[in-house]
Amino acid sequence: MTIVPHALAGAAIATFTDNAWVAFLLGVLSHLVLDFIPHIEPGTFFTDPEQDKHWPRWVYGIILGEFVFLLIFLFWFGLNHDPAKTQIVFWGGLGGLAIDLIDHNPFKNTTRSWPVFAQVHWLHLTFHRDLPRQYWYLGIPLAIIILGGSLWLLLGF
Amino acid sequence: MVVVRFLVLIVVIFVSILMIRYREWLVRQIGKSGWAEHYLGAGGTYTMWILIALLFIILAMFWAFGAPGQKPI
Repeated sequence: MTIVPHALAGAAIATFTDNAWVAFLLGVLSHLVLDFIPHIEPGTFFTDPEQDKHWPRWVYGIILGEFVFLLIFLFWFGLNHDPAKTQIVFWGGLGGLAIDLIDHNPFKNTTRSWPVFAQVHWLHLTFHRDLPRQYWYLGIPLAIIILGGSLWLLLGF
Repeated sequence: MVVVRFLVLIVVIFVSILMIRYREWLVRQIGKSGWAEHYLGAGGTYTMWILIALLFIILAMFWAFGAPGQKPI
């Protein structure tokens, strides 16, 4: 799953608490739960481990676009909600992204052998389920449901 | 206030990404750090600049949204 569904789902689940620590933890847990559902992401198309080490530039372009979208969304949310709610949504969203930020950082080929990073990588792999490449289109309805549900919760917060 | 915090956060993220992207240039200009090379291993100065950039981003996020357990302003 790409970063926008993870971040929005983490932020949406965090709306059920008013504690930023709990929000972050719920975000992390939501990441593992969502990863357990077979889904579409760059790894669906780059099944060869060597290919998966260095994704093409367009993949990084999409990732950059997603981060820009999240910043704009957070900016809009911060303008229209009080700081306490923005704080909860931010930490929940960051929790939703945390595992990917640690495990798929730009230096992942080096950092995955480091303590903590190695354990996070193991945990990520344990829960992660990719859709088979030939059924990639089945991941689109799932992503739409997660995005729609998360936005519905966030906009009603 | 939200606008100022966001602008500062975006500037810090942008500068930090530049620090990571151009860390080799930075090391050529400033030189290697004996401390970093000793404690972070060979090439530790480059790792040190990456860690400093990440620290800047984390501090900016804490300031912009309030650290967990801290009342946001």
